[in-house]
Amino acid sequence: MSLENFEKNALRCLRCSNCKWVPGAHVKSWRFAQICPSIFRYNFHAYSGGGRVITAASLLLGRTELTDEVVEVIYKCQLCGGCDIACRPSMGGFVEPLDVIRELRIKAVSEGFLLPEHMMVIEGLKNEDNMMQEKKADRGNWAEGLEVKDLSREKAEVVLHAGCRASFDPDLRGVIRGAVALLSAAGVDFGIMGKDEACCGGRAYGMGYTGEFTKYAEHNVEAWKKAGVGKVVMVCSDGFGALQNLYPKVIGDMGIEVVHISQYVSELVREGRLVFKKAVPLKVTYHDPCNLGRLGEAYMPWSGEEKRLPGPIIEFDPPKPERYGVGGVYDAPREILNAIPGVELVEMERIREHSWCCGAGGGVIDAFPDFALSTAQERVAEARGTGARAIATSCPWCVRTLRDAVKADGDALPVYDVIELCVKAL
Amino acid sequence: MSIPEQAYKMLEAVVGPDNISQDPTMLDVYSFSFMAELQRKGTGTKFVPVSPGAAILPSNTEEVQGILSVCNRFGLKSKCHSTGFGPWNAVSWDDVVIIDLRRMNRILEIDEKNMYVVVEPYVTWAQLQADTMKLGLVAATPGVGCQTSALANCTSGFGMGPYNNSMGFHERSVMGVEWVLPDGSVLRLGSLGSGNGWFCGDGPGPSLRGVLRGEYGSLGGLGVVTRVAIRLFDWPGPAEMPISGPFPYMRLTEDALDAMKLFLITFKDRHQRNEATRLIGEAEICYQMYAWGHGFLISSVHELSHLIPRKEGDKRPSQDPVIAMTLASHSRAELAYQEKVLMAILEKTGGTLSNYVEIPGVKACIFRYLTRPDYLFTAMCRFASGFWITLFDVIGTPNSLTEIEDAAIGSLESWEGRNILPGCADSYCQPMYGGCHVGYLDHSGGIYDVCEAASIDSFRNMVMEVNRPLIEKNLIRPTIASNEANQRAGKLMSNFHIWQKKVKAAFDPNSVSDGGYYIEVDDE
Repeated sequence: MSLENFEKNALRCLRCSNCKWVPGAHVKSWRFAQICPSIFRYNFHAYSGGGRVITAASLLLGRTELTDEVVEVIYKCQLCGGCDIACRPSMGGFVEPLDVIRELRIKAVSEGFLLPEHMMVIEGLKNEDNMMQEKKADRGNWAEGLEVKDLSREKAEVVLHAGCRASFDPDLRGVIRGAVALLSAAGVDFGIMGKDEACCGGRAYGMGYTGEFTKYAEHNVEAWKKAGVGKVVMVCSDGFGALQNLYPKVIGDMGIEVVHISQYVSELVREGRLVFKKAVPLKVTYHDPCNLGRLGEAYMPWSGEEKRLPGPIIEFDPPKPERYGVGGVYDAPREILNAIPGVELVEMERIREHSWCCGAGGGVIDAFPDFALSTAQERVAEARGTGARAIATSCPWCVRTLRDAVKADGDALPVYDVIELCVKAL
Repeated sequence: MSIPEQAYKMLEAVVGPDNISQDPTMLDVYSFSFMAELQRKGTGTKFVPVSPGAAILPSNTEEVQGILSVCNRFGLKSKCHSTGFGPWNAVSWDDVVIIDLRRMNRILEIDEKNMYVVVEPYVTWAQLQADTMKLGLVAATPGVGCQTSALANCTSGFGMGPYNNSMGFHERSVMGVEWVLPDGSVLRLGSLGSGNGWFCGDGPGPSLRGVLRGEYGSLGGLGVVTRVAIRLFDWPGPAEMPISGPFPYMRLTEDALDAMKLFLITFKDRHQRNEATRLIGEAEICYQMYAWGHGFLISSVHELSHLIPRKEGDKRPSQDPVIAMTLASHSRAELAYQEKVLMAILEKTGGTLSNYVEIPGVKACIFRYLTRPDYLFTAMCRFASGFWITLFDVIGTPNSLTEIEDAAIGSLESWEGRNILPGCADSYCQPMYGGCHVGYLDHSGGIYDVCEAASIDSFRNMVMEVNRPLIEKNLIRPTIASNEANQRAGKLMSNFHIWQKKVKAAFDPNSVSDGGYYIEVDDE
């Protein structure tokens, strides 16, 4: 696939601006009606999902060329998928803004329009197998003192994949160590790759570096199979989204089951293998990570063509899968929260498929940290509006940006990964 | 193509460097306009053949004034838009400064007692409704979509909707207005103009709604409206939209609808429907209403689109005209009375309740369309991603509109399968207003493949072929909403274009506002 394959998509944009907004029937207030963080901050139409689709049309028709300014527009986007979900009820598979934006980035990279910040991150990935510009040798340090199988030497049915952020961010040790504690408490036979764990590659794909992504995808699957793994439990939602969608898309069926830690823990709770004995009296609101929710649907491959019927009605043959985000992971984290004694869950206005992005995705946290921060601050403002005394979420990247936003606001609102609350309740 | 460097620097000084751009691709994005592929002198795509000189984002009225002052000084034209969904939002000439009003997005005041809301240009209907419904109030929202600008629809553009029957046409909802004229001065209309607040559009203070917008609106050709008070009406429904679930699984939470009832009614023919709407209007029982051809329903409602014939032998769908409507009252007794009256009218006129609403999702879809139109309008595009054009674009009595429908149906049927959805020749829609005494006629079954020139040409030919005999019989007027079209149509219609030119000359003597979709003063 290349951007040229999306020329019709680009020309079919209606310019309706649905891509900027939470679907109308679900708008609950003036304040929290928007779904696109990019145009929320930068305001020019080019910064919307539709605006980037039109940018693609402009480039494809040779009307304009890539410039540094245009590339900045392309990358000031978290790839959160909000525009895609908002567009599809009208346009189905005719426009697909998220795919178009990804192809724009691949084109930018292939033509040498590289953001310096991303180049550094990718360089770090190539040298140290992680997106955090940290030493590979330090990757397993988070597990110090824990008794857990090392799958570089042993075998287990389940691998717990920590992810780059949780592995290296000391503030998030509680999340990954908590995941270990939960699985151990439930008697799960699992292991970790430790210092041999490698990045899932998902963020590299989002930045437009598909070659690097493919390398890591292939490596990871090989390593897991070598370790006898049949199930990958992802702590990171970004990683979960990558394995759910990008791995099958790029390298085909892995032959390994992928679950998010929240799904696994929810299942363990339902089976009675995890029991929360202590009360955690806390009013929380839950933030749906993009890559766990609307972008967490299982990959739905499609290979077909357009068919012209009298009308002219255009249909896809076979029909394109209907990707409205409904198959994402929304209930599992909420079931966990509802199972913890004392936790009271209150919802924000923009939840589930219409969740507001935390700000970290798409390489934004690396290249435009102020944009990532302001996006997260908007989310924190929404959370405060619920009266919650804490935010809970299910992704280390979300935890990071939301905690940074709270701090930047001069506030003390706690942000927890759901795992951390589970550990408190054990 | 560019504007003078000094002009750019001055504009930058008005809004700050982050809020103005001359990047070619950024500007080209503003050249992409809904249905522009249908322009005869266009590019064949949604890109218009001209490009703005700069795109600028003001945040308040003073900045708008500053921008227009700079434009006047340097002889630049300017064109404003809000959400920008319409065939008239792009610029008409090269180097026009496009004023994107996105940063002016506040709801300034909701006056519950006097029932109006004051908004800036980038407040959408969805946002407005979300905040006013909590107070038991709502504004007449158009069918084009709740993601569009409330201010633009009321003061500068056109569009009908399901509320118009009980709440009047959108122009009637305009109360106080703050209007930055093309020369940069501010004119306040209605009670606002005499310092008496927003409550009245007609005075004491200049009453210039006719000049400001007329029937169609000036479409950006007469300065910039920066604030408007929009009339609010009683909303007897719940404080939040009673819709749960994501698309395509949206469902109506009926428990929340104890003060409203939804009906979908079919008739054997349009004359029966008209008689029913006349009686419903006279009985004053209707809250929201849309009269539809059957084709509109099945082409717009996701859950019914499978009824469109796709191959030889597929059953032709019913052509029975339809009314979608709600009754509403805070009083159960009154609601019951309204329903009794409605049933009596249906018995008299042969209307029957449609069982489409038993299909999961259909009821929610229709309620959404009547209350907060979202995807129904744009969902038609999923067939070919072209769109319908307002084939008739006419206001009239139900009987006169039915006369047009009857006159056009044969021609439309001949285009089924070419540029009319199969089985959807009757895809008429009539939002009613004025107690059902008046309606607006639209058609929505026409489609084309936006990626194929032959399909676009064919669509244009269809529009001409269907409309020409109707114009010759004086059943509809020629199309308007462009400088050239208005000048052509005006000659057939009381020379309204001459009056438009006088207005334009008086209010925009330096021709600073891009009147390409409105009127331009020339040497005629």
